[in-house]
Amino acid sequence: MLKTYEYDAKQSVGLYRPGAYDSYIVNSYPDRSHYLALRIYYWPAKETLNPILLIQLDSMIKAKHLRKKYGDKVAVNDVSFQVQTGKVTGFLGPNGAGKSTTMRMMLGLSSGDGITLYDGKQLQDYSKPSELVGVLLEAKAFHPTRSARNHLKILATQGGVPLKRVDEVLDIVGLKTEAKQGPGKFSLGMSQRLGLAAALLASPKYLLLDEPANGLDPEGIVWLRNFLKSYTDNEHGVFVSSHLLSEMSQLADNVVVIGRGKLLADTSIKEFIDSNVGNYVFIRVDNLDKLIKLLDEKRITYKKKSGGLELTQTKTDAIGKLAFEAKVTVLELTKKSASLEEAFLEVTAGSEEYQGQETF
Amino acid sequence: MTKEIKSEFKKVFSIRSTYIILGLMLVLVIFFGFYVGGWHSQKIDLLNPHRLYMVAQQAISFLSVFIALLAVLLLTHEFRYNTITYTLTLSNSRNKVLLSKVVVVSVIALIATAVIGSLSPMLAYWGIHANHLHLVAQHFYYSDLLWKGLVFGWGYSMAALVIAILIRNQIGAIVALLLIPTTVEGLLSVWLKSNTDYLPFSALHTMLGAGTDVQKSGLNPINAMYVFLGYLVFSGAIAWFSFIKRDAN
Repeated sequence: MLKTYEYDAKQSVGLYRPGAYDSYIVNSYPDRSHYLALRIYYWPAKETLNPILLIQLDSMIKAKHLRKKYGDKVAVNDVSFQVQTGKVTGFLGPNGAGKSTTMRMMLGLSSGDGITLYDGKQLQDYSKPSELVGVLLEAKAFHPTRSARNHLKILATQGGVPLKRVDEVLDIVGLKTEAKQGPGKFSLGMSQRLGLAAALLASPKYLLLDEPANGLDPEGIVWLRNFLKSYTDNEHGVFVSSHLLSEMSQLADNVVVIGRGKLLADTSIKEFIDSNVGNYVFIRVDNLDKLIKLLDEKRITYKKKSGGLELTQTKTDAIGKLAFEAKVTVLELTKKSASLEEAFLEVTAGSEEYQGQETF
Repeated sequence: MTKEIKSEFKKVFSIRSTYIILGLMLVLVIFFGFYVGGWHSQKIDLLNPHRLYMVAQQAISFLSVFIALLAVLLLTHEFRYNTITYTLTLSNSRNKVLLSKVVVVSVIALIATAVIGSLSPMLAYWGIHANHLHLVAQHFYYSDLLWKGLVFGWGYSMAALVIAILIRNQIGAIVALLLIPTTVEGLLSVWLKSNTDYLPFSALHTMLGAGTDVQKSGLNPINAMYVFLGYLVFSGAIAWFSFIKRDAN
């Protein structure tokens, strides 16, 4: 574990210009977190400037080599990834890919191999885990006749959170008027809001949310998106799974994609799309054969689609010139950006646990 | 661990079923104490110098199942409604969570048993006098009833908690709690005959002495308590291990 810290420290030091400061690692007491200490020098004087600037290392969630078996079936297979602060990390995968199992393993709810470190330490090493991570794994995780307020009061008590915070989070999620009701009759959207209120109680550094947008109305989805984006300032991080890919593409900065328990991608949304589908140019002309002949001569790859051609690794003006050269009339020439959905389908092709039959 | 214990108390007293069970238990204490043990006493009962002591014993023996039900619900509600995910992620130790449940169930069991054990003979006495009957002078073994009653009430609820941890399913745990002391041990008694006292709930009843002929039993109350505690420690260790290691689904 110490090697990890040393490695991270070097990475962080590399971000700064050497010579203007001195840097070293301190092992803080009593929480044993590792900090990168920066001692800044006056120039040209030799005296150091106090106070020392401290940057906490490992300020992220690191899931390392998570592995879980149910009998002979490997549900999660050596999955490692990071959730950084200041970013929303989307967690994608087909049904049965192991997303929920992975999240449960990260929280210690499910056993298995591997380790998850929150800012360099395991969750149980913190005296108040609620201040580190807020959890929403299931919308309907409440006693149906216990009032929403009492439900949150119980969680606040256990998490060591002042009870006045209960009304604050109810206000944040818009459930203040329903606080006295038993949530048994709540709609799925209201239940999600209550679950989110529970996750926010201790203003945790990280939020782990499993399908939080399920059941929310369009207004609720927009609210959730804006809320989570505003939550991820430099101090906070959000790890969120969702099946709503269009929503995820608007919300997430990074994505972690798994299929059949294996990690398929851990990267930024842009890189994920570019490396798997990328942008392409679509062209439709009056005489496709003439254009194809020219493209074949110039060894430019293309794909026939919707009465036209899809060309990758090229630009619209270059394709326009080619069409002119082939003496064809251009009916449509568009630069298209691949969507997260297309990239997701490309990456997870063949790794779906359950597949529907094409009937039409 | 204080916050875990406070939270568990809030869980118990923030749902309707707790009040329904406690209310029903109180009604039955009144019914058994005042009416069955007092007002409706037979002549032979009125001549028994241990009448009030026996009413207390029988009330504890019969009504402890309600306290045990509370223990079952405290744990199985967590798994039924999946609140266990919050309970386990808000705390940094499953040991603390389980220990807090043991503490809360113990406190409730001891208080409820004390209420049953003290209210029922008082109500019986009141019922006898309200019906203008005359009870012979009574011998009431306070210290004897105190330790036996409290061990019985606490032990019954702990056994229920162990059953709940091992089964997790709410209906399954309640059925097991109702069937094991009566039907299961009853059927085993056909085979075990006089050794039936060495079964856990039979030993517990032998210790309390309600409805058991202590003279005929092979176990004295102290040994009966040890037999029961032996079962409790053994099954409790398995339940504890299960709670710590099993996935919280």
